[in-house]
Amino acid sequence: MVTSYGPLLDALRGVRWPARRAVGAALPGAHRSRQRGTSGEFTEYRLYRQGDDPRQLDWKLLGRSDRAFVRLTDDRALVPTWLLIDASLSMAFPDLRSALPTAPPNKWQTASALAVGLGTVASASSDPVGALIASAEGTTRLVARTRRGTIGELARTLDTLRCGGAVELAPLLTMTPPTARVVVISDLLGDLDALVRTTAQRTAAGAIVECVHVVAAEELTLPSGAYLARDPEQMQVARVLEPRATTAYRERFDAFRADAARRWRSAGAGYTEVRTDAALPRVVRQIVSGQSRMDAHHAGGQGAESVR
Amino acid sequence: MIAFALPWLFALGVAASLGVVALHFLSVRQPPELLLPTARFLDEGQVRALSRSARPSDVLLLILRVLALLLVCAALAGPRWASGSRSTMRLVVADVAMRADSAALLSLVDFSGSGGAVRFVWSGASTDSGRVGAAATGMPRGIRIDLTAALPMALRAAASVATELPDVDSLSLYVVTPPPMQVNADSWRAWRATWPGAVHVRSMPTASRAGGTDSLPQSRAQLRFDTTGVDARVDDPVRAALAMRTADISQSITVQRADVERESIPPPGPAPDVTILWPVSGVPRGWRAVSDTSSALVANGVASVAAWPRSAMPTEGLLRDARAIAWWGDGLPAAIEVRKGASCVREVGVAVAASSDLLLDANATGFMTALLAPCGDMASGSGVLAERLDSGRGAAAYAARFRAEEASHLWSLPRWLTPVLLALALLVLLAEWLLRDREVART
Repeated sequence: MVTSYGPLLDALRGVRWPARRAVGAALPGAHRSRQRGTSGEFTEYRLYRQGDDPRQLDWKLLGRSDRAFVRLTDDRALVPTWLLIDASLSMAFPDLRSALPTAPPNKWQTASALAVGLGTVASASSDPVGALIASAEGTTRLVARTRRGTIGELARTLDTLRCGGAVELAPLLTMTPPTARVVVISDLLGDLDALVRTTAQRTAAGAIVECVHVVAAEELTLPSGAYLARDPEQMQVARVLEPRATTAYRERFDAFRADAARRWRSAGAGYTEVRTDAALPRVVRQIVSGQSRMDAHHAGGQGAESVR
Repeated sequence: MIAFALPWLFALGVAASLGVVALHFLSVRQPPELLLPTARFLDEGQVRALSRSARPSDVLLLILRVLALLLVCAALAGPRWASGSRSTMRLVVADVAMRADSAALLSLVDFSGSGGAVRFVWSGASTDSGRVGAAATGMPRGIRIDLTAALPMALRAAASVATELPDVDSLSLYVVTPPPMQVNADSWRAWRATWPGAVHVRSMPTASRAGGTDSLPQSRAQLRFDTTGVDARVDDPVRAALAMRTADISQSITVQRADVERESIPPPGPAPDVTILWPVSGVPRGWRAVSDTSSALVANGVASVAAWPRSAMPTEGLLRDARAIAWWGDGLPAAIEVRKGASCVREVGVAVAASSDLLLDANATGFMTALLAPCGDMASGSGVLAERLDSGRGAAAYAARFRAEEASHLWSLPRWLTPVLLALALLVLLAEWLLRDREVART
């Protein structure tokens, strides 16, 4: 299964994932830090003020201009990237056992590929990559590391995991470091309210949160005919799916996705809707480039735009 | 094979079963299930949809329901189990004179349909109440005299059959008789109302009618001639004609061919049932002498057209206590019958010449039959019969019992069939309940 990610990883070679804002204090890395330090990359001069370290004085400039300036440099820091992956039963839709070989991947496969792709891009930036995978069997935690093999371990873990049960992602979000970059990969059919609320708290604390909303193509285009639709996570929810009901369904589902996008962005997080039949390298590039945030800004931050 | 006392009730069950089958074709069923994580965005509503399909739903449940319904209806409809086809017995009421040749009677019985049992009831036998004490019971006499006699005999036989042979479902009545002497319409209607089915009346086969004297009960059936004072050298055409008809005799008959002055002398031996006074010459007592001819002699519905010499006519005083059994062509009595207790005396005013062959003519059969028939008078009329029917005694009691058995015969045959069918229906309903419960739990 690991080899199935090969084309995706090849397509993402050379892609970097810069932090969208200055990060907090951390080990030296590739991202601009909010810390001013003594790195060799000069940024600007500032007049010496009482209390500044005299060692930061630019003595040559003082000798030429007889004025005391302090040499300022921006620190570069690492951004720990945590992948928060939803492995609930709803992510296993559609069931691959009854799907044709030519059918698009289901939501879990799409989420797994996105996690591997984003992890690869983050790892290429020398950022430590960790994962928290919520499933019916509990939370699978992969500690954030920068060493080689981290992505392979992530891929193997995702491949061996089976979706099941109904899970809550909000408690897992609180387990990530406050200033980390967190990518939530989910279909948002679980604890959306709690997750958005926690996201708002984390972003206020300096975290960078990205939401990748995975939507199955079969959820957007319902099958024809009459069915008794049941929610796999809540089997007591049974509704009649018939052709005349699809219009109202689509209206409600569109409204749900638009509301989710608006709420995520209002919470200071990025939001990207990904369809299962989308080209994943393009999706990853869009996420890491912050295109979804810019698109949302141009669109007024209201609607959900699906990436295909 | 199974039959029902109330077939309409079983037909009702069949109709209800068809309704159940139709409901299974039009059953409310759930559409196939689809796991859809976004099912919450669908409309809330009825999760069941009325659908119609070419195949019934829940075939096992359908079978159990129909089976239970049919079992209940079959149990309540009075089922009657017969190993073979429906059992019908033919009841043949025939004159006792045909007993020796009863096989010939079978050709008159219709054996199409179910069952082949035949029971013969002989009219005119010594056990026939139509003869024994007929005057006291008011019953019609044998079928040779009155066709009505067949019905009470058939009713008694039917009651006996119902008691002895419970497997017999129905009786088919055949009455085989020569032309009866009389049919009392009131009596016939009264008795006919007591027989619930059809009555098939057949004529006596020719071979049996021509049966010899061997078929007669030797104890009573005999023909004697009292020819005291008659010249034995002269051939008596009356004696010759009567001797040829001994097959029609079922009782003792004495024919007095003596002169009229000797008719008062009782003949030796036991008193005969019928005494025929047919003087060779002269006029019987109470008759008036005439000397002419008549163009016809009518008796028993048969007219013999010939120049019949007429020697005497009964007086009106004589006719008050007698009834005519033969008539001349002008309607005057040619022969009369006078009751003498259980017997009777028949006086004949027909003068037959010694060389005459009028009595040998086939058209004289009616006259000769009327002479040789048993005393045909009814001791009591239909009023007495109606009284006995109302009181439920006597022969009418047989009919009442026979009908009561038919009316109350709603139990199954055998009796345990209804409880068994109901128990089976209960078991089927229990299985249906368990299966339905499991189906509900599964959905």
